[in-house]
Amino acid sequence: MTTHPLFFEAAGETLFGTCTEPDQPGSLGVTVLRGGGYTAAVTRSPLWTPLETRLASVGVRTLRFDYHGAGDSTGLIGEMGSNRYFAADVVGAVDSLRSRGVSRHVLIGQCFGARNALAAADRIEDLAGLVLIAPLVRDFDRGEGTATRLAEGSTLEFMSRGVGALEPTMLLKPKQLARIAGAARILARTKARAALARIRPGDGTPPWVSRPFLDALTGVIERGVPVLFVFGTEDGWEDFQAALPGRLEALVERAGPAMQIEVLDGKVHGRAALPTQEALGDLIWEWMTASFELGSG
Amino acid sequence: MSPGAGAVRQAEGFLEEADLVGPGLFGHRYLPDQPSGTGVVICSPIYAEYFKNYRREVLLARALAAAGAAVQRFQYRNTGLSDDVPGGMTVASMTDDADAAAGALAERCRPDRMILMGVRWGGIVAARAAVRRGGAPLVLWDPVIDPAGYLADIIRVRQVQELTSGADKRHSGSDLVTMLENEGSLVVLDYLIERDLHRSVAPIDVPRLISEAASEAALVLQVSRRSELAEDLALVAAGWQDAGVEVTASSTGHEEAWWFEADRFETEENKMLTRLLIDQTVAWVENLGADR
Repeated sequence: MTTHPLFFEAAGETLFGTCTEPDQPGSLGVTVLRGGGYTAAVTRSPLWTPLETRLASVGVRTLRFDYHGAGDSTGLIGEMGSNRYFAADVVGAVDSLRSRGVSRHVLIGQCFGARNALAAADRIEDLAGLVLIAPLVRDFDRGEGTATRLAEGSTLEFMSRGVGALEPTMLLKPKQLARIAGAARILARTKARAALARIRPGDGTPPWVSRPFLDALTGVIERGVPVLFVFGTEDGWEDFQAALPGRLEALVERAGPAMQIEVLDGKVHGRAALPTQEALGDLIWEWMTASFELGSG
Repeated sequence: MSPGAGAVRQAEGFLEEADLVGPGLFGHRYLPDQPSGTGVVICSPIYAEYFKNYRREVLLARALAAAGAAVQRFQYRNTGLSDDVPGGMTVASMTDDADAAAGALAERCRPDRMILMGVRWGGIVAARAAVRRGGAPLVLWDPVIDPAGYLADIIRVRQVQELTSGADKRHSGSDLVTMLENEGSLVVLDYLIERDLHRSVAPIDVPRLISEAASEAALVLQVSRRSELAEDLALVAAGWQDAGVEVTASSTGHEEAWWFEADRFETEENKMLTRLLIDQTVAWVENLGADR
């Protein structure tokens, strides 16, 4: 097994990644998609590094890379959120693996990376599987998750918790003004989405569930691509369960055994506890070996 | 990590390479199309501070290369894509790595002048590497002057972690120091703090080391809201001046939460602190080259 650095092009930017090559590579390749804002390519990760070694032992190539504007890649991140995807980066990474002989692709995405995987799925014809770790089932910009959840409730509570008591002196302070403007933007966007959902024909789906998430997942399920969902009890599981009524539940039923849903204790993304990262690695490994015929490397 | 360079020509006029710098030592190198004759080796901070500063170092390296300086970044052995170091990472192994990185850059582009740069803990490494070379121009961003205080700050991060995560048992600072001593390591967030690294720096008189490391010129940028330099940093700067080193020392006026995520995401390129650090460093390196 060797690990080597590489640069590849994606949507006009040069992205940096590291590729782990087995001694005897097979046709299956894995692209790892970290959450937003992480330096991914050069890290010695308690989750990814051992998993990459295990996968290489059965002939699977893996590629980890930095999104545009992060780590050693070029470009500017600009706006980042669960409704602004980096699908072009994912397609560039998959193309890079394809040029090395990979003809079946598994995307493993964490949080924002999971949404990127879903967003890119319909542009990857030879997609063989998806691992979605704590995917966001709502749409919001980075750092606005809690505020968006609050905005789905009472407007009064949102304003009092998000902004505090309004005072005339706030208008003289640029930081306070920016805070009020930010809160108002989140509130307006969330309420508009809810209003739009109310006038659509109802299928029981809660109004806050991301339509792009459901649409992309529908496409994947219709193609028969196996999917592993992994949630932490502290990140995403509650939201996923609440999102089930309506379309999501129908998708789970339709997928049948092609969709596996697992829940681990604690958090599974960001700075997860070391035992959780090990358990997550084991879970992905078991799913990979059960889902694909892997060689001996 | 195996050899097998990734390389790309960047539009700003330099070649960027990623490969082994020396045996088991991975790094990124930036080679300008029109070299100014200056080489810069960047010694990174460690733990969470490494990731906090990562993009900033990439941007700095590219800005320096666009201005004609050849730059070498590297990952200490026992970290990232570099190999393990027998016996674990110590300040001696880190100095060996910085030395190897400087040697590799010198061999590749034969600069007239080699600048050693260090960020936080990397300041100690850069200073030791400079001493090995008989002194060198130094650039230090918010250097660690008091390693014991630095470790105490990390211990406090663990205490904050225990407090905010609702841990069943909360430890006092002295409990955690004892755990580190007895068990050899301590997990803070998900970083492994290793006793032997911190023991390895204990015999070093860091202010004296840094004072003796600079030759010709030194730039030190304090990352703090305070406008005046901290006392220990001011003493180091005074020591340099007494030794005839041309000193540029200032505070950025901006703080950095080295161990914690910001409430709101901001693109690194847009951060005022990042722009200040990079602009001042590039200007200083250019001036140093122009003074030759």
